[in-house]
Amino acid sequence: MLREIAHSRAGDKGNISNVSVIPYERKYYEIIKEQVTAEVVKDYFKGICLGEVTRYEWDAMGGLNFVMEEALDGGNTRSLRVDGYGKSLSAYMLSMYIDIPE
Amino acid sequence: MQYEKKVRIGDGSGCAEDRIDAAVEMIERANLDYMCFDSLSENELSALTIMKLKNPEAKGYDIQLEDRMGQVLPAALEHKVKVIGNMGSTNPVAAMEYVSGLAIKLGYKGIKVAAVTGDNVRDYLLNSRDIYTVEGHLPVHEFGDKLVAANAYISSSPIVEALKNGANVVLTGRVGDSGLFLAPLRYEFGWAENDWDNLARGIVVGHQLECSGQLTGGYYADPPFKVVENIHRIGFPFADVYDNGDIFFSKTEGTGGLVSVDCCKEQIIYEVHDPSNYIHAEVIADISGVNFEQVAKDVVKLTGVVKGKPAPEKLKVALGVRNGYFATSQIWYGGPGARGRAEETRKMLYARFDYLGYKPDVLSISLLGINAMFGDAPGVPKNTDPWEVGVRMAARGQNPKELLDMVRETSKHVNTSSMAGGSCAQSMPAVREVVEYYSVLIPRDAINAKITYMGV
Repeated sequence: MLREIAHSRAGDKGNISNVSVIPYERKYYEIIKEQVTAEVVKDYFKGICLGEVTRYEWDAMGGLNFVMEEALDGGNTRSLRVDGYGKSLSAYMLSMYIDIPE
Repeated sequence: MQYEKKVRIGDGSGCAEDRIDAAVEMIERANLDYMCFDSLSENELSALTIMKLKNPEAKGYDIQLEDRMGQVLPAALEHKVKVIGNMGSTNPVAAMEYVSGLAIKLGYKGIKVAAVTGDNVRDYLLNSRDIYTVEGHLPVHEFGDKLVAANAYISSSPIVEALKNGANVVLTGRVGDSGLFLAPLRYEFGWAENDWDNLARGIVVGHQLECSGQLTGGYYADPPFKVVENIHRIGFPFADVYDNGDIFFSKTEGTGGLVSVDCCKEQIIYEVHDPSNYIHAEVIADISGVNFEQVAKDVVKLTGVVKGKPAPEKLKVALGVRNGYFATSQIWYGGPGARGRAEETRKMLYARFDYLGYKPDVLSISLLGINAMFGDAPGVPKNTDPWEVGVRMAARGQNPKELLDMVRETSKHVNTSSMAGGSCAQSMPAVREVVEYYSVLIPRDAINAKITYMGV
């Protein structure tokens, strides 16, 4: 599970959520970068994120930022969700499984 | 380390209802030059405006200002720490008058308090004809009276000027959050308005500090992977900025929490979209090349590359637009079969609302403990059977009476007329007004920032 090798934080701007994936150790950065693509994240967030997913790469420090459009049910001021800000989407992101080569 | 000047800036709050004791402790013990307070969320201005519409006596500034400044101001004046904050909210002048009065009561003389106004562009937008929302491309002037708040993220320049004119306390309405922290750096180091790289570095300082405990272990702790000690008295963060370009992040000594490279990485990405174009009123920052290095316990140095590009031509404005009401209510089931009874209640409520002819704009009934946070997204475990399951009704609509009836149907009525052992989890009323967020972009020259001073 991603949670064992990486951490994450979710932020909101209107109806857009941005969720980071930051490996604890540099050696996992390339592995995560290869497997956790924008397409993979869009599929994993099916039903939560209704719009486009864009991935931004922070190569210098080793971190990925997924910007998810239409991911907050209209944004906190309109949302009927328990978590209108999408604060918990970081935990959901980290529930994803990836393959770690031996 | 070679340097001639160092400025230490602390953050005293990351939201309107943030902890006050952590701010006071930092002023008393951290040898600060400045303490900045970000306490103005997107919703805050709308909430205060509606409060004022309902009660003309309402002050219009941050609801916590009196309590917060009552505790912070004595410490700040004693330790000669300058205070900057957006807690003036919808009425910075009234906030200035309150704080000046407080300084008099405390027996201080020679204190100058400044208020920055001009962020409110509601009239400008209602008189416009060709400005459309970023979300949905709606013509702004057609919102009319429903537009309750329209505040531009103005630049830090008026704060810099107030500091030049000797202000000890500067209170503003909407200013770019990071700008609150950039202002004292511009003033102290004399950075020019086109010194893009330094302005961008100042934005990084503000960005890292502005959410208080989020840099020091708050919104971070996740045992057993991320363990944070003494989180009940987490220290708020400060930055040391040197004239040789060095920037360090740390926190009040002896407090809970931690300042680590991982904390700094989480916060630098927080609420940033494209890191190469992080847009602020003063500069477009390229922060994609940042890195961090732990140089001592709870001390992290900013390394890597931060570049600045010329300021954007337009400024962002946050809008609050009234649109009906929101209601929510819950009922809980426990023990064996709790999920089954909750699911039946959910079905019953949909049938009941249909039978009664309720027509809210949107309705959602979800099961807390099952699918209320992530719905049925692919990663959510299916067929779980927890001992505690809640039924949560949430609805938006234009008719507050209908919404209140729906709340009753989801709480009291379920007690008497549905599955066994339902327990309502909240008291009424549970209906509130909806103020929707939109944003627009306006030309910079639409802003006429003004500074008002009050000397004590």
